[in-house]
Amino acid sequence: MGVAKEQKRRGNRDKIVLWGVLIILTIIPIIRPLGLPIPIDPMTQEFYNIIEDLPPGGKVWLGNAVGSGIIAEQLPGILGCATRLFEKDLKIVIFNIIDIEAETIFAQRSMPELENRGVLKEYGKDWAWLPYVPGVETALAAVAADIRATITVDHYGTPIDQLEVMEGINSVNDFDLVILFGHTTPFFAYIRQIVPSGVPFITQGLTMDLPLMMPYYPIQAKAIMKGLNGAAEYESLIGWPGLAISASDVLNTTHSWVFIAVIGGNIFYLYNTYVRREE
Amino acid sequence: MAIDWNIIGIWIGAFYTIGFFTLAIGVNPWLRFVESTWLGAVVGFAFAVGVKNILSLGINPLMKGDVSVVIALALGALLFSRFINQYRHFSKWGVALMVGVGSGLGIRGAVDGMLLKQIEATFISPIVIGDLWQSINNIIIIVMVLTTLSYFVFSFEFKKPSDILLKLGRWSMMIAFGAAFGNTVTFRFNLFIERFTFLIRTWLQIA
Repeated sequence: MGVAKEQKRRGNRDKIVLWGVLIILTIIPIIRPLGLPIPIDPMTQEFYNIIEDLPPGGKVWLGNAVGSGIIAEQLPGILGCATRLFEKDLKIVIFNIIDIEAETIFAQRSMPELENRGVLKEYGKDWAWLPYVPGVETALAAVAADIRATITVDHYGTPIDQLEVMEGINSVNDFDLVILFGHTTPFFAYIRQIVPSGVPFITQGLTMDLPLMMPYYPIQAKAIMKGLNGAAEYESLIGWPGLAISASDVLNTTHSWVFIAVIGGNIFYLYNTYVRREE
Repeated sequence: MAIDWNIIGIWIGAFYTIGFFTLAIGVNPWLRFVESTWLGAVVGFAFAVGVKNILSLGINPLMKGDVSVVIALALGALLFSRFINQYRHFSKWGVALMVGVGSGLGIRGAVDGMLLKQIEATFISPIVIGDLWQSINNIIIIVMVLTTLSYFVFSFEFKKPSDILLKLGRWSMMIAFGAAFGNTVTFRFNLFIERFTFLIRTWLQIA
């Protein structure tokens, strides 16, 4: 009984230390950025190169499946990517399939930021924003096969036949590139329904989903941007410092702390288990 | 004086963020309140989107004379028959359609998009001339794929020395699980950092 109490007391004390140091290491870089370097991962470089290689006027399917739970990781990515797509004079069609919240999140979080950046081009001529389509993977397959049979009006209620940017676009095969921002559910749906079309496909994965996504690189997914770190690298490449770069210092300090805590915790565990037991 | 809804939104955001963070000190009434109301808001949002979809994709086209949506609407309505014991078997028709179409589409795409292309991805040369790291990567991929697959071969008993394949397969999976766990921890940190940045920069406006 005494041992259990001692372990519980020690556990609570460890938790306070872990949380305390973590909060300090989070607050300091937010208040006073450290300006630590951001080395570019080859995958982010590939993501960047694929977009850069598109000719002006190239048509891009921008798949938005960023729900409220993954804003932290994916919002900086989609903002950086959309910024670059607009800068490059590409024709962009934004699809909101699979995630029920994605259209609302885009309206409330992404659009105001893109307007602030002043990168948005003429709506209808250079880009279109299509509404949420229920049906998850079935909806994705239907849209990929025949957009006009599935979606008749855009986000604002305008018939898509009246949008200049939609001229000549009937299915996924009419695009030069498909980009997805979302978690594994949309990712695997895109792998099954979009990739067989042969249109190049790139994506940004959540950090925790990367082990599931990486086996699909480079055959199915031509590039996978790695979570918030990848978004910071991409912001650095396109020269638009945003949410991800501002978080990169905190990422470095907190991750270093976790690394130290895991190593230290294991050393103490081994010490308590073997050395103290022998004593 | 005009109400600044943006500021009210920020304060609500801060109230809920700190409320959820209080889990660190244990379950408390603040946490219970934010959990319950958040859940209610999510369900309400999903309900509202559902109603909007039924109206825009079902009722409105029907009103405009598109009778092709009648079948979909009828099958959708039948899903609610599960709440009446006497007629609950009717709900299976709609479910059967959804499962059938979903499975069919999933399998069709999975064969090409996942199975065949995954096999193709392992057809790699273990030696890449002039690129040592790529050669090491390729060898690791080949060894881990083969040993992990051999771990799940149950109709053949691996005896010494071939049981090394099983051990390597288990180690391969353990490494993969470790990587997945590490990435999950990183992801949770990213969520934490975003919320903390919101509290300090947007709510408190310190930095």
